[in-house]
Parts: sequence; structure tokens; C-alpha cells
Amino acid sequence: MIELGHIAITIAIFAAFMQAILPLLARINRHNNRSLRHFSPLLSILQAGLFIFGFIMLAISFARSDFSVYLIYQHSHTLKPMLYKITALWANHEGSLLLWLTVMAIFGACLALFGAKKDETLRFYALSVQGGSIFLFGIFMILTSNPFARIVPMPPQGEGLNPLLQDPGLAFHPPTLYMGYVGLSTVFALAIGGLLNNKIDAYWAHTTRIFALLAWLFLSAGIALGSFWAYYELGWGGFWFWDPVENASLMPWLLATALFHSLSVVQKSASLKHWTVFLSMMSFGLSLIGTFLVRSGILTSVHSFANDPERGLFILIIVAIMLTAGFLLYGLRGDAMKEEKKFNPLSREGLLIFNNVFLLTMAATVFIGTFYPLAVELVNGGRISVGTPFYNITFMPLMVIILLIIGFVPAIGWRMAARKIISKHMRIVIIPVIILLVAILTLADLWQLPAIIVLILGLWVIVSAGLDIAKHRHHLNIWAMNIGHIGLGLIAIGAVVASTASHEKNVIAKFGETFTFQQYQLTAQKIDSKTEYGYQTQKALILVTDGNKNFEMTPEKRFYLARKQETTEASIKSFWGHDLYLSLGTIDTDSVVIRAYYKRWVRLIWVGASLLVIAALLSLIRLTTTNRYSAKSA
Amino acid sequence: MRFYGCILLLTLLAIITDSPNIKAQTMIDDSEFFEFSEELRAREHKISQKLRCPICQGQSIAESDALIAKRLRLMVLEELQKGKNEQEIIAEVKKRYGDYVSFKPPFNSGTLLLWLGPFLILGLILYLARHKFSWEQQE
Amino acid sequence: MPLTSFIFGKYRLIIFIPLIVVIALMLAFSVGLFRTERGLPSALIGQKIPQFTARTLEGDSINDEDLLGDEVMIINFFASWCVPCLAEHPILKTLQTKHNLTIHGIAWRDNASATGQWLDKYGRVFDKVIIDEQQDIGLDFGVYGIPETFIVDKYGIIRYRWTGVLTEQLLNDEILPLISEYQ
Repeated sequence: MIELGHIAITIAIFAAFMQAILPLLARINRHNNRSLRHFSPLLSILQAGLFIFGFIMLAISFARSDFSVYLIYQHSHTLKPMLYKITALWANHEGSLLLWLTVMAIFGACLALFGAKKDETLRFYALSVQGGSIFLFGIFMILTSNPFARIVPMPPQGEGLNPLLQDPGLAFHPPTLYMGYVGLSTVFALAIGGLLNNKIDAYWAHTTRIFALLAWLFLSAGIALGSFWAYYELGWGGFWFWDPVENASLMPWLLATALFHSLSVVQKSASLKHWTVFLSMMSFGLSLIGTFLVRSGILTSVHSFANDPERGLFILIIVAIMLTAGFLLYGLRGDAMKEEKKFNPLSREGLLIFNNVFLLTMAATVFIGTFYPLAVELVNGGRISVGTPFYNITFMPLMVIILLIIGFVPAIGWRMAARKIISKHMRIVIIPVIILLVAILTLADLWQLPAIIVLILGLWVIVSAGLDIAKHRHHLNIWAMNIGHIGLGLIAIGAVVASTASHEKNVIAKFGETFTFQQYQLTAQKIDSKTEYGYQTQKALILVTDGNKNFEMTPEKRFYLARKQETTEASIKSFWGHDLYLSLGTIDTDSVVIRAYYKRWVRLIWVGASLLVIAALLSLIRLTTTNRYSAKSA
Repeated sequence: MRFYGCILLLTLLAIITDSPNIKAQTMIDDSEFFEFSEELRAREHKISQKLRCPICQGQSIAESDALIAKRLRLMVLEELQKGKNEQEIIAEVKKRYGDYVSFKPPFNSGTLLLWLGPFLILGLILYLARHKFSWEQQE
Repeated sequence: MPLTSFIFGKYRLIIFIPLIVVIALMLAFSVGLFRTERGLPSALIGQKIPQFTARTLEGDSINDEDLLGDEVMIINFFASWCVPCLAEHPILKTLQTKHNLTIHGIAWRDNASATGQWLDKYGRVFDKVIIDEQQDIGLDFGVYGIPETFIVDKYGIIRYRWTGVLTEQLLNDEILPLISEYQ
């Protein structure tokens, strides 16, 4: 039965190849041009159906622990809980490739069914590019990393009982992130399609914006989920580490953000076409480079799936083909996009140009920081590390500037020069900001300078956006834009406060003795040792009280027998203003070392991220329910 | 995840050796840290967050339970007790383990492009965008 | 688009800059892909061995000066609880007997009795054995795991460091050539 899935995938890859060369066939065979064009969407739907079928077949085999499939033998085990049997499908190189392809095919089908309905030629070209991408990744998978490969004779038991991969966060983080990464493939396809079609116009911008927002939605959610998981799992309350693979997801996100902003300028003012086409290609380009990073082992990171230079080279060749083709086409056709309009720096177009400038610089900064150690190593063998201190100096100032600009946006309209309006806007917004600032600073114990600066900027953004919503509450796009900006403001405030104004304490807690931490009294009672399914656990029982509420917390250390690995499970109690976070150190007969963290305002980060997703959703609803796509809308 | 890479290393040592004596040698007990004052430990924590564990996948020595990570933390404590300040201590660790061990890359001729790059790129992109702007009033 | 127009400069160069950057990037990545991971280079290469005072296995006082001779020598960090150290023992023996090299051993995070027992059991390849129970010497040398092996020239300058098990191949490819170079 698994072979059915295998066959389905192979057919799908062949279909993708057909789809990719259709434009060529259509040119040679002008007589059948029309029917060939109508064939293309059908091929997309076929690919999606076949990939989904193959994926489901593999999933079922995982669920049944069919160890005749080599991948299942390597990464699963009969003792694994069912949820993790299935998520094991994509927690490895081959399976995640299949996930990548399946999502790409689904997006292709979406493009076929819902995209560019009013410009069939654009859709035709875009679909063939999508098919080409699927074909390239497809042959890579089939030739080097086939998830359907069998093993004979069938082993009785699997080897995959890695406890570190058995986690709910791990179940949802990759698929969501992939939908983001892969969603950008449609944007890439549309950019190339638009160039081939010689038409980068308002309709192109409208269609591309829908897919850009969709991809951005998933990318934002995926990154947030990853950060959330790291916070809950790793045991010391960190949520962003500037790790190469984290950066690999941040770079496309930054460019995708610039992209959907830039697209509105193309739509409204028929301008910034070069920037936008560049962003369309480069955002997917960075997505591809991210894939390359993770699978080739070129940079050390805990996320690395494979350390396989040959595979890495194959991927690099695919990436090189796609990007060189894209930018070559841009070089050849780009000059046809003539733009002479100039904009006042204080107009909305002007601000959006600045937005592009800063987001591009931020992405470039992350890129430099991520790859510089590699460059140094290649040049003279030296080894350096580029971590948070670097990004604090180079990335954060740009973030500050962006927040500053965002606060002005509601006051500034299209094609205007807003000097007088700006001062009026500032006067209106500053007062609530100052009131809130004073209130917060008196009530909260917040005196760290970075936290205060970002708090002021965040409030500036939030109040400005809030007032705009209040003023124009009948317009869905106003809601969308401002909710998104509020989300960003909350994330910024939450992240900086959590990083700079949190507290911690390490204690040797003797059983029965109470120690104080912030407003809490904590008493470690005892250690419960138990043997569970596949692991031994030492769970500390800690009574916590702050005078009003009492609760228990149970951080633990686990020792997984099969792999002889020890892990720490932190215990977290979340409140609105802070998280109380306990994790265990060395365990003794009469005491245990407790690491206590008081992480402040962390919840703002997750709330802010949710707002980003909501904003994208609102915007998508607005874009897909409007029939006008000319300069007057959006 | 990265934390676990270190635990793995640590436990690999633990697998090899079974007796409690050897366990004591291959792991550093947290209690050793408590021989120093709370104030000193708080200062050590701030410094340790800036130092990278040489064998882990990007963690700081503050976050890792690996042997060398903990030993380096004890070194930081010892130096703090001797009265050294943060800059001196980080320099001491870098002297032995190289620039890799500091999360803040050095600023020298080899890293000029790294530190100046972002600003140069900002300038470059602004320059490329300059012709899109005009101060003339729009309607 | 006819090739002739291209050659005759119908297209401005600037519009191909993204393409050129992308190609350069891909080439750089392909070079980076095939480099071998060699572990952290030692920060002490080219410097004299760090000063220290310690006790030998026999209990005598010893310092860094005492280790220097007028020949190339090897310093090996090991411990009785370290299994890979056992694995490289034959290689050290080869270096000692066949190539007549002086090897000093530093017991990293180990005590005298355990070290002594281990050496009695498996044979002593070391000229002098130093006990570094608190890893102080290890810290000064920038040791981050064992086994680690340093090659020191006749002036006491560290020329080479290898972290991990010594292998036959490493011996022939790198260590022996280096030693003859510094003799």
C-alpha cells in the first residue's frame, strides 16, 4: 500500500515536469495553445491530489509502524505515542522534504483555483514556474532522499525513540513554518510569471499580495510557535537566540513583510515595481537558502537535519538554478518596467519606501551576522561567534526606527506631504502615551533604559494605531493594518522587557525549608522518583504561595533509558504580568538546586504574535472579497 | 534542543563511567557554585551569558550543563573573587579559548566588514532609493 | 531577445547586479560546503606554553619550565575515566617507542591514585605525569575536552593542538610531518 503512495508521488513529479514545459509546448504548438493553457491548472490539482495521497499513505504507515519502510524503521518505535508516530514523519530530512513538496503542490493548486483568475496568461506562466520548482525538489527527493525506500528483511522494531522529538510544540511548528516558507514559492512564481507576461500591474500586485500575505501569516505563526516552544522546553526562559536556523526563518519573514507593504504601492501608484519584483524573488530565495542551511550542515546548529555535503550540493544547485533563472529574467525584462514617479518623503509611499529600505537592511544585517563566521573560517581558518551583542548594536536601532515610523502612519495618506498633519498627530497621540507611560512606570518596577525606550516607542505605535481604529472603525483594512502594528508593538515591548527586566535566583533548597523569590515563598517538599513508559523521572514537588494564592509546581529531570539521555522539564506558571519559571539543578538526598526565573511581560509576545496573524487574516478577507483591484482600493 | 546537545555530551561521559566516584569527576556539582556569595554569583551569571560554550551548539556557558561550561563559570567566579572586572575576565577566557568563545565578535581588521556592513548597506540602499524622493508638494 | 542587442549594450549593467550577487553567493556556499570540521583552533598556537605549578603523580612539585627540553615534545591531556584516551594509547606508544618522542601526560580532572592505577594497568607512555585535579592547567591550555594533544617545539612554543582521539592516519598525515619540521 505504501507503494501506491510511492507511485503517486512519482506521477506527481512527472506531472510537475509536464507543467513546467507547457509554455514551451504552447509556443511550439500554437494551434493547441488554448487547450494546453487550460491543461495547466488541472495539472496543479492533480499534483496536489497525488502528493496528499502519498503523504497520507506514509502517515498511515507510520501509524501502523510499518518497519519495512526504512524511514519508519529509523525514526519510529512501537512504544511511541500515536501523535509522535505521525509527527515523526516530518521530523527528519526525507519526510520533511515530502511535507515541503506536498505543501508546495497544495499552494500550486490554490494558485490554479483562486489566483490570477482575470489574467490567464499570468496564471499559466506562474503555474509552470511552480511546477518547475516542484519538479526540481521532487527529483532531489526521489533520487537522494526517498522517504518511501524499503528495507528488506523487515526489522521487528524501530530505532526512533528519541525523547527530544516527542513534544507537542514539535508537532505543529514545522508544518506551520513550512506553509510559510513554501507559500513564498507562489510569490516567486508570480514574479517570474509577471515578467514573462511583461505585465507588472495593479492586478498582478493584487494577486501577489494575497499569496504574500498568506505565506506571511503562516511564517509569522511558525516562527512564533518555534519561539514559544523554545521558551517552554529549553529550561531557562529564552525565546530567541540568533541561532542560524532561527535567522534562516527571520530573513524571509522580514522580506515578506517588506513585500506585502511594497505591493500596495505597486497597486495604488504603479510604482516600486523593481523593488517589489526583487522582494518577491529574494524572499523565496532566502527561504531556499534557509532550506539549504538546515539540510547541508554548512553551519552548526541544533536544528540541522543532515550533515551531508553531497545532499547539500544538490540542494545548492537547485537553489542556484531557480535564483539565477529568476534574476536573469529580471535582468532581461526588467527594463520594460519604466518608473518615473517621485514621492514626497512624508507621503505614505515615501514611508513605504523607507520601510523597504530598513527591512532590507535588517535582513542584510541578519544575513551578514549569520554567514560571517563561515566567511572568516574559509579565509583564514579562524573561528568567531556572532551572537546577541552584535545584533543588539546593529539590528535593534533599525527596529527602533521602524517603530518610530509606524506611529506616524495613520496620519499620513497617499500622495501627500504631511508636515502640518504630523505635528497635529503627534500632539494628539503624545498625551495618552505619556499618561500610560507614567502609569506603567509607577506601577511596575521598570527602570532599565532599553525597556523604557522600547516601551515609549511601543506605546507610541499602539496608541496611534488604536486612535486610528477608533476613528475609522468601519473600514476592515484600517483594522487589519493597525492590529498588525499593535501586534508588533506588543512583541517589541514584551521581548525587551522580558530580556532586560526579568529576575532570577539560584538556590540550594533544602526539603521543608522556605525561600523567597520576588513576591513568592517557595518550599521544596520532596523528590518523587518514578519509572514511566521509557523513562525515569525525578519530580520535585514545590509549594508556592504569595499570600493570596497557593499552588504547586513540579519541575522534573527525566532520564530516558533507551538512549541514556537526561532532559530537564521546567515548570511554568503564567500570569499576565509575569511567568514564574522553575527548573532543577543537581539533586541531593536532602536538597535540590532550584533555578527560579521571574520572566516579565512574556505573554505580550505571544499576544502580539497572535495579533499579527489576525491582522493578516483580516487583510486577506478584505482582499479576497473586493472586486476592485485598481488603484482606488486597498 | 540545544541544551540537550550538551546534556548528551555530558551523559556520554556518564555512560562510560558508572561508579559514583567517577561521576563526581566527570560532572561538576551545582553545590560548588554556592561556595561563592549570592552577589558574586549574580555577577557571574551576567558575564557567563556573554561567553559561548566551546562544545555546545550555540549555548552560553550559563545555559549549559557541560563540564567545560561549568568549569568556565567557576573560573569566572574565581576571577571575580580576585577582583577582576567583566572586561578583564572575558579577555582572560578569550586568551585561552579564542574569539569563538565570546558572543560579541571582536572588532579588528578582519571583522570590519561585519561591524560596518549593516551601516554601509543601509547607506547603499538609501542611495539607491534617493531618486524616488522629491520634496515637491503632491496633491 | 537577440543576443546582438545584449552585446551592444541595450541592457544597463545595473539591472544584472542582483544576478551577479546571487551567483557569487552560490559559489561561496559551494566552497563552504566542502570544508572539513576541524574543531576549535587553539588560541595558544605560536605562544609559549602557559606557566603553571603543580604536582606530579609521584607527588613532586613541577612547573612548566621542567617540561621543556631541547627537542620537540608532546603534551597529552587524558584521564583514567576517559574511554577514548584508552583508544589512542597505542598511538602514543608508537610515538614514544618508534619515534623516540617525549610525551608528557596531564591527568585532567583526575586524582593521583586513579591515574596511577590506570597507568599501571595499561602501561605508562609518559615521561612525566602531572595531576590537574581542578582542571586549572587545562583551563590555561584552553582544553575543552579530552583527549587533547599538543605539539610543542624545542623552544617551548605550542605549534599544534588536536582535540579527540589520535589516529594512525592523523599521525602520518599531520603529526609526524609537523614534528620533523620542528626538529
